[in-house]
Amino acid sequence: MSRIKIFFMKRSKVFTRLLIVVSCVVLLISLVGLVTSYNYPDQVVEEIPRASISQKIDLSYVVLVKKSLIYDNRTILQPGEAIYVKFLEGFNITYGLALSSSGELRRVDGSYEVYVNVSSPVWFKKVAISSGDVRELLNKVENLYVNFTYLRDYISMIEKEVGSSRAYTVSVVFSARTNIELMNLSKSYAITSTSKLELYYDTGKPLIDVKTSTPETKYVDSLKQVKPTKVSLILISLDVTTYRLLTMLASIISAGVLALTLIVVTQGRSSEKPLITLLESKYRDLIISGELDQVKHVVAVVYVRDLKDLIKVATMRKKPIVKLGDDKTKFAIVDEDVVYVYHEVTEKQVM
Amino acid sequence: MTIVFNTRYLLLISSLSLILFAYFYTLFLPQSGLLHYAIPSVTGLLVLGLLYNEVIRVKTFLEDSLRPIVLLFLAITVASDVILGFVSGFGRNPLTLTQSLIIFNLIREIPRTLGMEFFRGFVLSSSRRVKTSLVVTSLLLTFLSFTYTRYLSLLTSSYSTLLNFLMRSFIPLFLSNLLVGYLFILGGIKNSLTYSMFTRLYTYLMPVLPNVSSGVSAVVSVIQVFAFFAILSVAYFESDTVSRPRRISKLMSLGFLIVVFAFLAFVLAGYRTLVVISGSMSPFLNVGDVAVINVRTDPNDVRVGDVIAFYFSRNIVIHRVIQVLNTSPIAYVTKGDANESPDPYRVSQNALLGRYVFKIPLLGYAWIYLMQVFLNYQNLVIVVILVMTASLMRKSFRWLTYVED
Repeated sequence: MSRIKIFFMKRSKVFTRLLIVVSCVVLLISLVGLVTSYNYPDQVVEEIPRASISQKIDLSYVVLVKKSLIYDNRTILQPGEAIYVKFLEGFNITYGLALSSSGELRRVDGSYEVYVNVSSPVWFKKVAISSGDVRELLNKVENLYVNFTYLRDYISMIEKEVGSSRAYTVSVVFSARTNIELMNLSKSYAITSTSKLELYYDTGKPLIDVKTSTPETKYVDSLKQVKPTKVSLILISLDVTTYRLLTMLASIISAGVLALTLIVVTQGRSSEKPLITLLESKYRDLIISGELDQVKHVVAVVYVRDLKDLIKVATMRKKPIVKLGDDKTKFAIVDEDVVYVYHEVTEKQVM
Repeated sequence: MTIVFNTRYLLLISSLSLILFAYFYTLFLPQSGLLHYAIPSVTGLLVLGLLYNEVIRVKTFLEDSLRPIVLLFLAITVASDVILGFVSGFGRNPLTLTQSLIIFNLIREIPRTLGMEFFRGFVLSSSRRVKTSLVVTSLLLTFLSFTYTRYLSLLTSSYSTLLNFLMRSFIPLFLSNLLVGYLFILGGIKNSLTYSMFTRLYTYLMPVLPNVSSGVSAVVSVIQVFAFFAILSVAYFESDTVSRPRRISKLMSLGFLIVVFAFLAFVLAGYRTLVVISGSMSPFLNVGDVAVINVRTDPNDVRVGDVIAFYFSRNIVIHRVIQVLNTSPIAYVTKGDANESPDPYRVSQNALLGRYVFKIPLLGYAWIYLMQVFLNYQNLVIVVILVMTASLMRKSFRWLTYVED
């Protein structure tokens, strides 16, 4: 402790005050930092993409119709135009497989299938059109003609067997299941896509509805990685657990420095009034302040051990006690040729 | 009102506020994590910084002479744990399972203990009513040793939980706090801090501890504190004229010792007392009677008509033998005098505790009522030792007053 005391004695009061202020500020900041750090989770789960693959069966069509005034004698209609059942002959559909990936493809295989689903509220019929290896479709365009006149005859034949309906749905379905391997990845990915062209046909209505659906199938392969939460501390990014540890240590160290500074600064300053001050206050009528010049004819100088004894002498001899100069611990009584002196050196409190 | 009063008052308020903040911070801050270590350490260090000079300058007349006695206390603490460990076995201390746990606990406990001890010292050295301060400070520090959630849970707990908490946790710690406070009064902060810090570090650093139940641990703890007060009494208070016991007190002590020795001799001679708590042997043995059993009974000497005590399940039963079966091992058919039919089991000679010798009527009622209040003998022992310790403390306070005068 004495070394620490010497350290503080060598420094100015400004330094001590600065140390108290700095340790208080560090203590507060570190405690607030520690408390707020618990608002963040210890770790977060991040998804890191390894590969992404997308596949789509592109689909387009034109409608073949009979020559008529309503179509200005045209025989080919583009998608979106109104189709009258009366003039409809068939659909010319073009389709192809579009495949894209984040990395270079190493191997592609799989199969595709084209079929037509014909259904009414009372029956359903699936008709296979074609099938094969997906590589045949990859980055190519294939054609399929759907003869509506033939389709209506086909429906009539079925209805003779199962009974007739008013409305029908015809779906031309293109489905592909592809297995893909990418360079630098030993994993194989399977991806399935389906596109549709759907006709809604009601015998009571002159128009036929056509809808196409060509969704893109995407597959993203990602790794789940647990990452510690980062917190920035004076431009340094730290893990939240390290941050907590550092703020805890900072708070304890700053509290320790603050305590040590308080101990050294308040050393010698007792909050309890010393006995001598209490006695001085109690017997202030007997005590005067002054200086002793040359006292002649002194026979003896009596050094009393206790201020109480000096007070006793003052009371018995009816003499004032002289508090000498600025020294708050030196008192004297001049009684003719005897001088009584009390000089307090140390004081110990005894319980 | 003087400035002196205000300064000390401010110091008291500040340090108490810090201690209470460390206790109640979980009401408004996260309960887990490193805050659990940081806040007690920080508040402990701040209390130390505030009160160090106020406490360290306090000089006491026994400061040096008390040091070897404190070291003796610590040696007794360790020795009793070693003996208990050899008797009941050692178990791994859960507080020392990992190095990081030990380090974090020390980071928290050392500053906290420093803060608490300097706070105790400050209160005791500031107050004019030392006795009241000692009791109040000990109660406060004991209260703060348990979380407020524990007290809240006690509000809705059963009588047995409440009593066990008081007897096995609160009172042993309260007595320990009284002892530490008393060590401060006699020997200053160095002695009280040595004892307190050692016991705290011992708990957090010892890799193994005796594998005993909380009840036994509590009984050992209160006996230790009583023994320490007795040592202090012998070392300081007995030699003084003021503490000379009165004749009646002497006679009571002598009587107590005679009863204890007689009971010990009785037990060593092979007898055991059992309190009758059911009427199955009425009118031969009534509820409240104390039955004396000879535990050195030879199973071959048991005859039809003898009343025997035997273990059944986890209880001891006293019934009359109505048939001896000469099987190997020997078995007995028993029946309670007040029961209409024999017991539906055979008592093996291995379950035999002993043969009934005689009874002391009604004496067992006291035991029955005591057990209704205290639930088990360990709690009763703790209360008795608490009273004995209080008696010793009264004597020591008389001595202290005399010395102060």
